[in-house]
Amino acid sequence: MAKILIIEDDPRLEHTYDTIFERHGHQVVRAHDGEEGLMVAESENPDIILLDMLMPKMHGIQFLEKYDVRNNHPNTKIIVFSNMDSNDLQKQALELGATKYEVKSRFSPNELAALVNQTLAGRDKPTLS
Amino acid sequence: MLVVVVSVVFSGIQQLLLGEYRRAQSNETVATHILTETFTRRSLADDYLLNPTTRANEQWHIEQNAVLNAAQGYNTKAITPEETGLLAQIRDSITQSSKIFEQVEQASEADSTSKVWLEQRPIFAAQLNEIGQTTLSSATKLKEANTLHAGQVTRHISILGDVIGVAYLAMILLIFILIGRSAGRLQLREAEEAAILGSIGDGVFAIDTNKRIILFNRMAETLTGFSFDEAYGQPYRDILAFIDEHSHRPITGFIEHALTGQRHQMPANTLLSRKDGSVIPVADSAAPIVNDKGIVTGAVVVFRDITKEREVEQAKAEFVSLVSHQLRTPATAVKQFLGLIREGYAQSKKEEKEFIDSAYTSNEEQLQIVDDILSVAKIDAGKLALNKESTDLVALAQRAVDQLLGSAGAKKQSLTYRHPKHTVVSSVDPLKLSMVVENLISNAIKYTPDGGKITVYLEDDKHHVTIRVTDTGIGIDAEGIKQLFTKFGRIQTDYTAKVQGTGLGLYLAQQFVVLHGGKITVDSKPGNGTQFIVKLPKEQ
Repeated sequence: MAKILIIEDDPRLEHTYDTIFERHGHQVVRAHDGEEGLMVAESENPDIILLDMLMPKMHGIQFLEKYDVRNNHPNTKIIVFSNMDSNDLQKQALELGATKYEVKSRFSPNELAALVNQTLAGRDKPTLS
Repeated sequence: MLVVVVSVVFSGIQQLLLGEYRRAQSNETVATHILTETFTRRSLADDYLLNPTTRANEQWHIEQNAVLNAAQGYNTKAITPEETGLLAQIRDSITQSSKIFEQVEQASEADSTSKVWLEQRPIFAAQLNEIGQTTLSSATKLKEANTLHAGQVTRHISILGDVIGVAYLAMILLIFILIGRSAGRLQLREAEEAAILGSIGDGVFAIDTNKRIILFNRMAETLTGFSFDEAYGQPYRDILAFIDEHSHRPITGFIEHALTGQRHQMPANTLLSRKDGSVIPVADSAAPIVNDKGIVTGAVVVFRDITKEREVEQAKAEFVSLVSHQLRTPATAVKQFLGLIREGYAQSKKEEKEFIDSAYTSNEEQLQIVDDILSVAKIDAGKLALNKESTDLVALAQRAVDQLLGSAGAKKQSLTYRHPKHTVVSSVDPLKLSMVVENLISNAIKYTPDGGKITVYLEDDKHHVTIRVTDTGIGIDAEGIKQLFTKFGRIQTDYTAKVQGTGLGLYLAQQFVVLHGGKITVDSKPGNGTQFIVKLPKEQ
């Protein structure tokens, strides 16, 4: 079991992620924008963060800059999970310490669960694909 | 050509007149000569009569020959009948005088001292004198005729001279007028060309084969920052610093190619380094200047500032990116909810129905976005039509308010609707107008902090209906207001991601209101809330 922080402003998606991860036995904590996400991440110290990019108050990239996962949270993994299919954003996110950058629409619930589990298991190295 | 023809004609006439003049003068001289020789001959005849020596005889004959020769020297070309007559009289008188002189000689030879000679001598003298007088008279008339003729010819020559002078003057004048007109046309053409070049919205400059600037239009001045006087005659590389956007290396190849006779496009990513050191993205081409003999005499370069084009391209790219994101978001939700059912996550029928409902709602949102994008495409193509029907606008706005009460409630905002008690009926496209009102209320909810106040007013008079949506939200600054109704207006601020949206809502709202013949305005200041006002004409 892992502690997963979902930073997602879309309540519908948040609900589906919730359902999926809970069914897979993970503990889920939530935030609805970058600012709240930063606060919850600092206080909850999750194992893994599922991070959206386009969000109110604070963009995903700004979150990565402030959170500084490499220096301040080396044990936390971050999956950028966005529908912004942008090479620039992907490159930026990975440079800022994200473990993966994935496009939401490509994943079914089981695939998402597998993605999180594999990332937690550390079987995947950061990719640019 | 005209000048040549006129010159030949005048020259011919002049030659004829001059020939005539010379003939008259020559004949006048001949006549004078005849006169002189006749006088001398008469004097010699007198001498002989007084003293008939061999010497005096010879003298007379010499003189007689001189008179004859003189008469034979008369130019008879184009001679007048009067002259012919006079000349005949002279010749006749010469013959007569010779005959008389023969008689004188015979008489004198007989006995120069005889009485007969002495008696005959005055008679001979009288005869010779008379015949000499005839010669003199005819010669005088000939001289006078020729003097007169020479005078007439002189006058003709003078008149011809005047005519030629006037003609040449006229021709010169004509030539000057023609040249003037031609020069005028040329000047006009040059002025027109200069005006056209000056008015072209693109920078244009030309260089000669020495690569020095020979033309530099106004836009070239504006774009480079150099004046015409600074640029003219200078090597183009000193003035036009085209550089590669990434390497910052000079780009001159396309101009050099043009000088070899080939038209060339400016490479992509070309920047122009201006006089003040700033740079602007530019595009276009260089072409050879070829004269009528097919020789390349230089190159002309057209360049334009593509800053705005790039901005539009950038905005389009961002728009596409954002729209893709916005379409993917509800599509992802549909996929996730259906995936939850498909992959067995639903633990009850109730939960399954909940997932199906959420998928359905997400799908509707997705379709709405597709509709919005299609509306934009239709507006761009000028093909968006209204489906008008008689509609109660009070009820229409009520439905919009009702739909959004939930969203406002979620943010603990009050959403109030104030409207007349009577119906306000107008002919509108209810779907599009509903979208306008919903969009304005939805924006007010998004941009108003939790606990804020949103009020929708509907008012009418005889000719207009006004719908106002006011909020106590964050407000919009002047710069934001400028971008508010533009298609890509949202894009510039979207990276900060304050609120989600395609940025199409207000653009479409404005377009829909305008299609109804109405107007949408905004009144806002940062921190002081916002009021959107939609004013529509009342149509029955």
